[in-house]
Amino acid sequence: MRTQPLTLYVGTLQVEATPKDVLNQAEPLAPTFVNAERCRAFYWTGVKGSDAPIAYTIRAGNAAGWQWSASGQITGNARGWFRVVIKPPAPYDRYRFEVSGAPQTLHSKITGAEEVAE
Amino acid sequence: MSAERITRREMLKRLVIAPVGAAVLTTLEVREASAAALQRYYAPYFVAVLWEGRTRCDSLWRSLKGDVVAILPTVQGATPYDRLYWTGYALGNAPVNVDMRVLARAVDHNGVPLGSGWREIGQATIQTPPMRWFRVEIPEGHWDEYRLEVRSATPRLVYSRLIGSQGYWRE
Repeated sequence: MRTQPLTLYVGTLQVEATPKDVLNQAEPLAPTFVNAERCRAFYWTGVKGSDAPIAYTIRAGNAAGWQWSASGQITGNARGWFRVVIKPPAPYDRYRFEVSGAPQTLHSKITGAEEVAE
Repeated sequence: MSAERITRREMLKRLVIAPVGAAVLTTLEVREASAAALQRYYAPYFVAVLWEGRTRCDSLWRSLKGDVVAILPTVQGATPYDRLYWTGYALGNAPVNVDMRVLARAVDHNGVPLGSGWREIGQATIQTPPMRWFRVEIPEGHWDEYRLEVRSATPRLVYSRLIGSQGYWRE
């Protein structure tokens, strides 16, 4: 199988101390994407609004609940670029990209590497 | 007996059969949020020439295209590629000492960058004897746009090619 890039999200989020996903959903069970089984990797790039780090958690699962997660911090200067690469260990139907931290604006883009038949 | 017409550049490429000089990029940290460490082997299945041409290097940081306008990308539409490879050689009889740096950024659906400036992926110095090939691997793929800049204290003419590759990650 080969992959092709699929732009899943481009947007701006006001980061707050309360965890919420990049679609501004605070409900912890709400997915950011669904029907993402064919995505083998995600490339999350963007620009931070301030020097303060942003904590992120990526959850993956299916309708029964979250089954895998990964956490980390997005660090860097104000208006600095960042890049996070996510390669889940197995295909999952839905994903949630959640962030929290000191108030700042986050401009970001998430691209999935989708498997396609050759 | 058949004759073959080739360009001067192609002729030079065929004449210059020499060991390859390599430069290693000083890359920035890449955060891997998962089990990617298991995926060890990379086998390209598709490569594309993203740019090819000559660059007149001087003491200013110039894009491979020759401009010094920092907001302009060298290549666009590079999202599908896992890795980029820059290969080339510099004309002249003096040893080559060319600085290069790689910048990248992401754009929105309209092609507008998400922020000002660039992310600097890394820098390298190409130091080879005269007329030797060099090769630089740019490991941080999937950015939408890249700007490759070069400069040299001694003016040089560099012929080079930028290749993007897509591949399989095998465990």
